[in-house]
This record gives sequence, C-alpha cells and structure tokens, in this order.
Amino acid sequence: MTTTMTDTDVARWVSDFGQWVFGQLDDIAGLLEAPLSAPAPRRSDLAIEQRCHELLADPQTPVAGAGAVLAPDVLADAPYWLEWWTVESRGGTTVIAKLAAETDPRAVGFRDYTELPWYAKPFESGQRHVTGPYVDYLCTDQYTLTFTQPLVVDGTFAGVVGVDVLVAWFEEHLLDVMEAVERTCVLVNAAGRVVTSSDPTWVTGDLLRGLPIEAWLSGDEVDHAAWSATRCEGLPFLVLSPR
Amino acid sequence: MADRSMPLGPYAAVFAPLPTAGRAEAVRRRLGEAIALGLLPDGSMLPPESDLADRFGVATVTVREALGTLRDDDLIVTRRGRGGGSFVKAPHDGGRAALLTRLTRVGLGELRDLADHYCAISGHCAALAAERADPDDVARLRRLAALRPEPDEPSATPRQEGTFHLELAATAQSARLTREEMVLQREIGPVLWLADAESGAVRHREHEAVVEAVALGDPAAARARAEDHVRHLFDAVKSLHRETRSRRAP
Repeated sequence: MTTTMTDTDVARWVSDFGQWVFGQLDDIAGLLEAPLSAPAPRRSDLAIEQRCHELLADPQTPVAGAGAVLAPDVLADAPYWLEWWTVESRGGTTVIAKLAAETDPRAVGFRDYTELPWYAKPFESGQRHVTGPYVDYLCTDQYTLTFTQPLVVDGTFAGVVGVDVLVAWFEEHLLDVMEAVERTCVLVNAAGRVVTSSDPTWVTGDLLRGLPIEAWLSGDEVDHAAWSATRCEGLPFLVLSPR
Repeated sequence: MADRSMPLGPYAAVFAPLPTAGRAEAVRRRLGEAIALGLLPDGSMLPPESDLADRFGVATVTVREALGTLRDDDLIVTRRGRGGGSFVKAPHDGGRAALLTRLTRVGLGELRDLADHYCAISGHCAALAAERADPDDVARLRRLAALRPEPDEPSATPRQEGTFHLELAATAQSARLTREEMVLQREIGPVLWLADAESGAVRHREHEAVVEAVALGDPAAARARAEDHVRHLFDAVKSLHRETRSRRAP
C-alpha cells in the first residue's frame, strides 16, 4: 500500500468521475427511449423529471443542471425543447427549478441551441463531449463544465442528454487529489485550457499554448521538452506535469 | 420561483419576478417599458401567459389583465389559434421618443461615469480574451463581428452588438465580468445603440479590430480597440444628449 499518489492517479480520478457522469447520462437516456419510440411524443411524455431531481437534490453529487435537449421536430408539440432542471443554493437550502427556456423560434430571446457546442459536437461526432470550462451565461451564469452525449432512438439522433458541473466544485475536489501528488499537476481540456492546477503559475481558465494536445489525446507518444502528459481515459482531458 | 429565464440572456431582467403590490400594473409597466425601449423588438412573440406568470411569480389571471391593458395601449396584438400568441407592436418611431425622454433625465456627468464603467469592463474583457481565447472562441467572435443587420430587420443591430460584447466577456473566462456586462447592457444598451444608429457611423470595423487583436493574442491592442469602440459609442450618446436638450430649451 503506497501513500504517494502520481499523475496517473489524478488521471484515474478524473476518468472515474467522467465515467460516473456518463453513467448517469446513460440512465437518463434509457428513460427516454420508450417515450421517444412511440409515435408523436409530447413534452409531457418525457419521464425524466424524477431522475433529474434525484441527481440535483443529492448533496453528494456535484450536478448543477441535468436533463435532455431535444433535436428540432422530435416532439409533436414543440419544435425546440429543453427538458432541463437546475439547482442552486440559497441560504443553506437548495432550490431546484425547471429551466424556462424560450423555445419558440419567433420569440424574443430565442437562441438556436443546435449551434452551441454542447449540442453541436455530439450531433456532429456521435460521441460524448465535455464543453468547457466556459462561462455559461445562458443557464448557470457560472464557470461550468457541461457533459453531453447523443440521445439515439431507433438509430436516429433525437437530441442530447447532459449534466452541468460547476468548475468550482470540480476544482475543490480534484485539488484534494492533486495535493497528494508531489509533482505539479495541471488538468487541461482539448484546447489546452486549464481546468484545475496544483500550481498557481497556471490557473483555471488559462490557456497553455503550443503543446501537442491533439497528438497526446489520440495516444501518440510525443516527447515534449517541458511537459509530460497522461490521458484521462474516456474524457478529452490531459494531466500535464512539468518535466 | 427562481429566475431561470435561460436563453433570454440580457433580456432576463425583463421577465424577473415582481414585488406583490399592484402586480398587474407592474407587469404592464415592465413589459410596456421594454417594448417602448426596443428591448422587445417589433413583431416578436411574448412567451405564453403561463410562462410569463411563472417568470414574474404572479397568477396567470394577473398576466392576462396586464396583457389586456397593453392591448388597449396598442403595444401588443394577440392572435388566436394555431401559430397564435401575443406579439409586440412597437411604437412607430421604434421607441425613439421613450429613449430620448429617458436620456434627457440622465446628466452628462452620469453618462461620463457610465462610459468609464463600460470602458473598464469592455477593455478588460478584451485584454483577457486576447490572453485566453482558443481557436474556437476566435472563430465564434469573428462570425459575430462579420454579421450585418438585414435592412428589413432593424432590431437585429442591438442584438448583434449585445451578443458580441457578451461573447467577448465570456471569452475572458470571467463569470463576474460577464454578469457585469449584462447589467450594463440592460442599463444603457438601447440608448447606446440608438445614438450609434443616428450618428450614421460605420461601427462594424471596430468589432473586427477587437477580434483581430484578440486573435493575435495582443492584450494591449485588444484593450485599446475595445475602449476606442465604447468611447465612440458614448461620444454618439453625448451628442444625442446635447441635441435633445437643446431642442427642449426655451
């Protein structure tokens, strides 16, 4: 039994966290399969409210938002639809609220979500995606990570299921893990943006430029003079350590 | 109910919950002002009565009463049936008169103070964006800067201005600066955009100049271009302020 953690342990923690999140998304998607397979499904048929509430209400989970976002014209009674809930703490109590999204394309404030990365990327690639860290000024108003995956019903793309995790939560918990590692660890996303760092030289939101991130993510052994990289299985994230 | 009016962005305040007394009147005033100021553009559809009731935190019947008054004031039209709903019927001058009245109530000193605040926020957002923008961010900002309003859709200009500045703030990776940008847009946005339109200046190149400095990763240049842009917008407001006041002078 060793007490010394390495950057591989950090990568595993991140990877396990991603696996847990995407497991929740599989659950939500599973609940939607039957209602969306039926002919002409309606908003009231989407039976995920209880599951999303459980996720949001559990103080042990870091989920700040959860739900499904439907592809245009999947529902018979709304061309665009977000079946989405958010939670926020107010004076010690948590408030879960249904997102009041403007879904009529003619209305003020309508925003075509099919252009936004948390929808567009899973739609284009058919793969799971993590958007962020980014300022989610449309929903949480916070610095956020949004995990989404395609919702496929009878072989057809029907939208995405997703959850929001606040970067502040993620950072706080990952730092506990990173602090047990002797070396500096910097978790970056596919753009080289810092998600969490154990060294204040690089801070959440900073961009590390000029690194072979893409090659590292695809598993190529690329030697770099300043950094070593460890992949986080199943996520577009890398744990970097200065050499 | 929590204010969860998500994709409304800078319009969120228009639909935020209300205090209890005189609620129908308060709903009428909030929506009426938003229409007069052009925050809710001509022809756009209001959310359904039940959604409005949820957002304002009032009963549906209260919303219905307020919409009735707005209909009597000729500020909305309601169509029944499929594709129906309540639609904004903007004043003929696009809200100009209401904006000018509001502008004359603001002193030049207060305008200068607002300009200082907006310069600080926009300038710093641009400088941080230059440090922190990834290629996707730059592509998105370029796309927004290249947008040109269609001649038949005058309300598109404010929306494009507003969205560009919000995205610039989000690219800075700062939730606080982004929220501050929203507050400023609600406070002064419509006046800025009206004054800018009346000055006849061509402002699109200024957005492009900001984006190019961001793309080059040059924080000092990005800050300077963004500050220039905001200063030009406020110069237009100050001119409009002077004209409006001198017209009113005895």
